[in-house]
Amino acid sequence: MRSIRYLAWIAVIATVLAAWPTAGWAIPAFARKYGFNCTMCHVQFPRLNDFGERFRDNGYHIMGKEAQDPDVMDAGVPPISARTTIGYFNNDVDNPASPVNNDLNQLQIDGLDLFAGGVMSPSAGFFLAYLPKIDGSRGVAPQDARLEQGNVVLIMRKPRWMGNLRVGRFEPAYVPISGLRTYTRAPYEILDFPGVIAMPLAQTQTGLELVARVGQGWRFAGGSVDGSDSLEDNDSPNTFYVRASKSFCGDGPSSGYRIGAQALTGKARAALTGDKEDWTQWAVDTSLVFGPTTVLAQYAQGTADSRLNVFGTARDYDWNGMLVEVDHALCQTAVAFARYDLVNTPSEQNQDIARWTIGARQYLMDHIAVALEYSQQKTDHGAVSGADLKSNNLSLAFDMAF
Amino acid sequence: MKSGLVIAATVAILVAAVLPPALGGMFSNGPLPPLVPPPNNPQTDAKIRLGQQLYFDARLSADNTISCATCHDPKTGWANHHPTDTGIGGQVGGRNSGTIIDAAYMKYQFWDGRAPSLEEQALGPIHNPIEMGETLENVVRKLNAIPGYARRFRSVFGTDVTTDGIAKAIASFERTIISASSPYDRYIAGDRKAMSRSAIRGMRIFNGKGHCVTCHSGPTFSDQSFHNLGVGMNKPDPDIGRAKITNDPADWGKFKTPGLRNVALTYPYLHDGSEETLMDVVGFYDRGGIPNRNLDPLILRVGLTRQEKQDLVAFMEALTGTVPAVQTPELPK
Repeated sequence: MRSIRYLAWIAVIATVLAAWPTAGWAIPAFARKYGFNCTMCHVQFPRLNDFGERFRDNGYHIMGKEAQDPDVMDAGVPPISARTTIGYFNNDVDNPASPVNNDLNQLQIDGLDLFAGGVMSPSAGFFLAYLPKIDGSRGVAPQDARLEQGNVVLIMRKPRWMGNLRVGRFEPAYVPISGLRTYTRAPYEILDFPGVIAMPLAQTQTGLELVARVGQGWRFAGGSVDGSDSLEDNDSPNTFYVRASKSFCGDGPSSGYRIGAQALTGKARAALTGDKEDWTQWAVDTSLVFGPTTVLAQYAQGTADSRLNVFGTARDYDWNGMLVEVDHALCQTAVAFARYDLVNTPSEQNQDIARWTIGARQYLMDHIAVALEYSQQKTDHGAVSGADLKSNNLSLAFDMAF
Repeated sequence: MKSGLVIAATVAILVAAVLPPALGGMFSNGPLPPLVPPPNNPQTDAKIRLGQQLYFDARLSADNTISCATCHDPKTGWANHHPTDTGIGGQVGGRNSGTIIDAAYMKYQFWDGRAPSLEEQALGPIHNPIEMGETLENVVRKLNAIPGYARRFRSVFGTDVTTDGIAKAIASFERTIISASSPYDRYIAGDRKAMSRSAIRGMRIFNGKGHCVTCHSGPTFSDQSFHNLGVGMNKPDPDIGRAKITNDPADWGKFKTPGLRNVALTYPYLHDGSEETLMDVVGFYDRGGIPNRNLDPLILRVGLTRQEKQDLVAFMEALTGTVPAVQTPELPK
């Protein structure tokens, strides 16, 4: 009964706001600075389009106008934005291995991200993403404080093929399908999968990265980051990676077709010996835009040294996974999505993950969407109890940036 | 109680988010400001009338057949509805004639920006061998031999006919060809019914997905800069534009960003007139221009739907304002 009341409230508010006439211009930091509409950089908030990805690569300067781009002191508007989600969340978790009830069925404010970014000089830009600590209470989801991103981008002018250098904490280029800028609340399982190295791809990293756009549609990236959280002594970079992608008839995120490939290698500390051991990962991905429909797909595969394999040290730890997502713009202000995620773990672990997610977002304004989403996840619980973990997640919420 | 707080917080945040924003930002397109003529060429009624006569007078050309108005005709948006123009002796030029509407606000004149003022631009076509084909010395001599012109120049400038006086008079006249009160101007002034819904959607595309405003910004809808869109770069001997003036390889294939006010009046489009209609131009940009070694980084394939293209065209049509009605004057004898 309460659930129905919550849904009714949200539906009423959404209807009122959908009918509210607006110039549609009230917008977060970058758009405020330039007077842009959000769709300059976003296919739909939060997903970046071709222009937005280039803007990010270019250190948050308008490409070709770096000399005229006002810095944060001269821009005239504070370079600050925020994002939060407010709505109804229903998580039904069936975990035979745990007596704790993790179900959720309530209206709540979920998450608060604070952003700042902009131009420091014609050759440098910055971006910050900070999540403040929030003590949970009924109606407000708890949140640990963390600096999710804090980086500076240095624009290398000559030679142009050198690209731009990003230093600090950032989302590395080996996450071409970003879990931070996705339409869905459900995570990309292959990006969230820690394996035995405690380094989910989705985790932002501290280090440095060089990104260059060369010729017709080529983009190269390479970097070194701190990497595995299982290493306590982050006194040297532990993970190195390279990525190459080629785009046709557009850059891929919002037009044309893109294929990419990447390889990572790093070290993680073995729990039993305390020594640093090697691991590698590689992945291929594609983004295909067919008019209003976008298909995203990624396949990833990883190997960790047998001494890292806590499930059975007799052999190396091998895993692989994939995601396929289809987004379809129903009209200028609505997008529907469907995704399937799969992670295959070694037989000695037997905790394969499968998730499917469907939903839709209706944009009341470019920076405010009401999102309906249902996701079902199954994790094999083989060796522990023989019973699988299942969760069903339903949400109807406002996702907004301001 | 707490769910009520959450709901109240939701409503408060959403109401704050929908409040109309102030216009502003590096790329905002505001109304045209009052025009300030250069200190060395103040506007006077007599000078403007003299400039109008010179503008429409074909005697400024070598064979007395081509005037400024031949290519910049008030009946065709103060431009010309041909891809490129035909000058003296039937010679065909390589570039489209831009409009003089609001040209007074432009920092550079000509597609390659070689003239930094209307005064300098005014003399260019006179001695261009494929446009009016005359020499400045001959024009001065011819006009001084016309008593009506000699009298008017002495009245306005206190001198005989000079090239400086010709340039200043024509420029003064051109500074009166200013547009005003377009539907867009009325809309941003608060008249929410001034533009159609399609044009309003087009404005959002212009300032967003279409990426138009990154170059077509400011009161004239031009950033007063130069960009390479790849126009003509697929031809065997392409027009290299601004690079011919600056000799800078970085300017290879770059042309001036034209203003978009009254653009619906001035087809065909682009520096070579290669796109016939506004829809054709939108299609050109939607395809990402023509790839070449110096394509501007702001030129990206866009992926507009047909409706979005139509909306964008509707917005550009809403930039059409009122322009002073000018008749061909009686010319001095």
